[in-house]
Amino acid sequence: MQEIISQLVNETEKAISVTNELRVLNDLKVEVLGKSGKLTAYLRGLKDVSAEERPKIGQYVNDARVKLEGAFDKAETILKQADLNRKLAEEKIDITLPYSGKSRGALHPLTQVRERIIGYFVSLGFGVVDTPEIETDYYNFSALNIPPDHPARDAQDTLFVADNIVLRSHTSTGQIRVMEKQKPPIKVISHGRVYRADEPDATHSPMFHQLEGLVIDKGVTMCDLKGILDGFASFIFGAGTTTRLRPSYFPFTEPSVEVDASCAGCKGAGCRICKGTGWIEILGAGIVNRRVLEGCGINPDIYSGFAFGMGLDRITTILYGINDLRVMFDNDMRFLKQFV
Amino acid sequence: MKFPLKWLQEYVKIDMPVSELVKLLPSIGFEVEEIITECEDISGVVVGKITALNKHPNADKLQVCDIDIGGGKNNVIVTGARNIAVGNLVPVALPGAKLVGDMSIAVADLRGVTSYGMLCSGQELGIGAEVCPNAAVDGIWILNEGKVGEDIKKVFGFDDVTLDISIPSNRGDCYSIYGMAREIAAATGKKLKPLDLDFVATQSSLEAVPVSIEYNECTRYMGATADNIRIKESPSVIRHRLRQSGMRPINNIVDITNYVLLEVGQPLHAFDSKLLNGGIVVRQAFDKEKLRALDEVEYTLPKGSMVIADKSKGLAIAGVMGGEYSGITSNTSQIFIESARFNKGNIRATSRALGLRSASSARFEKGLDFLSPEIGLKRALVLVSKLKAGRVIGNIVDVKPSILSITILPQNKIIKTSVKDIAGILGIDIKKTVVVKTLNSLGITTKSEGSKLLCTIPLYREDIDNFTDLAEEIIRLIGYDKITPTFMQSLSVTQGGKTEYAIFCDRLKDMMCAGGLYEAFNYSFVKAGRALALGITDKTLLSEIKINSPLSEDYAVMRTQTISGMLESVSLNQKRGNATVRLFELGRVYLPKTVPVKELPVERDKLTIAISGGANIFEEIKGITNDIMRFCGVDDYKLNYSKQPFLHGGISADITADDTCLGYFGKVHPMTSEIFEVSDCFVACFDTNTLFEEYQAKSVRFAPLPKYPGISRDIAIIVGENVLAGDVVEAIKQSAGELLERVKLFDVYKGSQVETGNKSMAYSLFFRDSTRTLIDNDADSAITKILKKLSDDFGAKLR
Repeated sequence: MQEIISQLVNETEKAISVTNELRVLNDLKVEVLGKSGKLTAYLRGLKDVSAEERPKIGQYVNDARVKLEGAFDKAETILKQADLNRKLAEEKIDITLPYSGKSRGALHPLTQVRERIIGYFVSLGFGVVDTPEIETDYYNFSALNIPPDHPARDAQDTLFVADNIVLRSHTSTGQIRVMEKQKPPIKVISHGRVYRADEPDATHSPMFHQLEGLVIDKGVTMCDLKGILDGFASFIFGAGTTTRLRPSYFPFTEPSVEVDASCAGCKGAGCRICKGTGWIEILGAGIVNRRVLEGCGINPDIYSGFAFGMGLDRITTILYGINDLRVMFDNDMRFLKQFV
Repeated sequence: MKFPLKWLQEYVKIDMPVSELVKLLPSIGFEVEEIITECEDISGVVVGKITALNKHPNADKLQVCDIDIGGGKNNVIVTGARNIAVGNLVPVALPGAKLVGDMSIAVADLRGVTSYGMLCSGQELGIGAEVCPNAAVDGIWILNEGKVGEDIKKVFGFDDVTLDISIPSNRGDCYSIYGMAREIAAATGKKLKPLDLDFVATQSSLEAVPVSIEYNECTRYMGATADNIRIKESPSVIRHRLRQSGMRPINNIVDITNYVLLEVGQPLHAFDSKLLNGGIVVRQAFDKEKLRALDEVEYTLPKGSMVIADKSKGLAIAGVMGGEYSGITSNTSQIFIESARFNKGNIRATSRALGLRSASSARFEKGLDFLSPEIGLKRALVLVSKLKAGRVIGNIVDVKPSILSITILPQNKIIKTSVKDIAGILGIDIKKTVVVKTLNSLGITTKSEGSKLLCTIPLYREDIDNFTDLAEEIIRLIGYDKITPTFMQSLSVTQGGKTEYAIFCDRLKDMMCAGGLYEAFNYSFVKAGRALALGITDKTLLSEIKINSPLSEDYAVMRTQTISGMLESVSLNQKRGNATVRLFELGRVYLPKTVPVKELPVERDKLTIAISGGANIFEEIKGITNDIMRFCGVDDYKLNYSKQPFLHGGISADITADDTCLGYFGKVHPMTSEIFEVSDCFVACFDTNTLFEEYQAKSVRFAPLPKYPGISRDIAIIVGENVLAGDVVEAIKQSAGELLERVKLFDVYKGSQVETGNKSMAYSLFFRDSTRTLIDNDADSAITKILKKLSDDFGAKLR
């Protein structure tokens, strides 16, 4: 009896070892260990065995069951793993196939640059306004101390829609509108579209974009202006950028300056971007003219302030190396897709 | 303005190299546009004198010259030229010389004779008739001037450098050699040399020309007479300086007037005084008065313009251009030089109206001070005697308009300020001695009065108005590098940030990007009549704001709609072969309240979308629209076939909510597509301001998540093929009762399984009660009600 059982175990183990399919393994398991399986049959046959033999053979059968169950479990684990591996291999896909769905678009480079700049000044407590693009003579000229015979008032420079109504030629109009409504301290950014009678070419456009800052407070000086411009230049052109002030003339500021930033391309050594000078003109600025303050009902003996204004189009072309302004208003998808 | 350096150096010593000067000038407010060096590529050419001329022993067409090149040296030069003779002064290119076109000269053997250099034509030196008539001769340039051995460039002043400097528009005083010399002197601490104004006058019985001013736009009129005039060419120095300054030398008298204009900034005009009939009258032009000017064009003078006339006719357009009649000719023997002061606004208006700008009008437009005519006239008279152009008569005329009494003659402005005020605005410490010294260097005199400083401003500095101007003068001369940055030191803490509306717009733009669109920037101006081309009949959109003098017809009016610009951008992309176009723009339209414009127009923001290329575009643009509506809190909007004339009536929708039209989207009408040269294009447009109102009204409240399960039912119905899916959903919602949580169309079928003219629509419905678990009966009774409603409204049958 013992030998028969031992033979069954051996045969079964052999059968397990050659089984490579889970289903076959299960069938084998049922055939040997199932309710009416071969080994179970021996257990059932114990009643025909003598009482002395019974525990002994019972022990044999049980040992054989434990041994075979272990073998089945082990084989099952291996086969399950193999099955899973096969399934995973079958499910493998070509991950380099292209995506055919919708891709994200992008903001225009002018907007991206504007938002970066606005973000900087908002972090310093500047408000942001966007005032009318069509303005009266008063807001575009008179209130900004631009005298009646100033060349800017020429139809050659400014686009008129009526004798006293113009397409604003600068965003400084927003300064006046803010000062009329708000008492100092004032810190505000005015930005938007502006218009000049310039034929479009690589560096001119009849429509372009400006961003201006205005600060009115007690005891504001040229040094405060320089400080904020240095901060701005470093922010937009990279750490270590410095600025240089050069005297200039704007009717609405006195003193007036042109502001150059050290060229980020060559770190001041001179290159093609800065035309060999090491400096790039980025904006105009100055101390707000006393007459402008007076005109807005702000006492220039108590308050002073500074203003600065830049062409966003210019800053954008510098930052991205765009060599022709006109391409910014063509809306060619091949251009727009470069600024994702 | 162009500034020849040697001319500047007549009035201020410049001992720094040009490279330094061009850095100094911008630092004091004058941009250097160009550094002009004449005959830069010429070197090694000297004046030589032909001392002997012999036939070449081996060549008939060549001659052998002996040339005295100075310093006791003689060179033998072989030449083929025929127009030379012994005694001629000629330009000699010595061995090693460089000529125009990168040509270099070397010792050469010419048919057995060694030639040490070359005789030059004007052309080989790049010099033409404008410098010297002889230079243009075919052959060797026979010189009229120069010393033997002298560098040819020096003879004609070509060793000079001219700087083209841009002058800020408030600094009319710097539009002259003397004005710029004053600035350089102040910046370098050098002395400004005085102008030579001491002319030699002859007493004569010749009566002064009577002058009367009948027009107050002339605030001073001076003049003087000279006789014994000999019209000839000016000396080469004067001619060269005029040329360097961009002016054409004419003759000695005209050249003097131009020279003085450039040197001191005072425009002058010389009349042939024998042609004057009874003196000068400064008057307003008659109605449609005509005058033939020196440029041989007959001008019709605009209203309000000023004329210099005699008793019988107009002689000059005051401040702009002289008349042909009384101009200087080779026969002129007696002249009257006008040196006047005209109001800048008047000259500017006349010059603009005539489209005629001259060196004179440019100066008058900048404004001249009261003393300028006197300086200009005296300087001209000095030159007339110096150049021996004629005899100056001492009777100077000086007339002011009758309303200008002596008491209101211009006074020097006095500004009362303090070092503290000046330092205060600059934000730096500055010593009183520096303030005083700097101001004095500019001709501003100072006087201390306690802590105050009284500054007397010379008349030529009309731009200086208050202490901030003085601060600017000081800081630009001591250098802006003295400004030490202080970050936010004097600035109060304020609350910054964008407006709610601006933030809303930013979010909309981000949404558009997420929807696969790229931001476009279309021009605010468009061709006239674009709204009409779109078929728009709404009067508020048809009345466009016209730009007075548009740059071109493409920029003629301000847009009242954004569709045309967008279509043009799509067209451009399609023409360039960009297969898919996905654009949006958030920009303004300009709606006039009246036409022509009398008051500021209404400016509104529009969000515009354009899509072309790809499948299912209608669904794509509808999806974007739906996102916009959801973002703005508009859950319950209606779509009706669009009434926009430029949209395809059957593939487009107007979006309304509570009877407000929020926008539209759909396919561009075939006719519009043809006009704007686009194909397969879809657009959408929303009034951003209106969307913002909806957005502001949006209120988001939390609803507890459902606790009880719901029941899902699907129904398929057969309806006529023209029944709209949206209408069915609406009917389902109306009839289902409160338990319906959501309804969704999941299939539409037309084909063999359904009778012709009908379609099957399958909807998935979901019912839920927030207070209990639903039973089948609940859903069944709702479905019964729904089917009844659908049957009543659409004749729908359950499939």
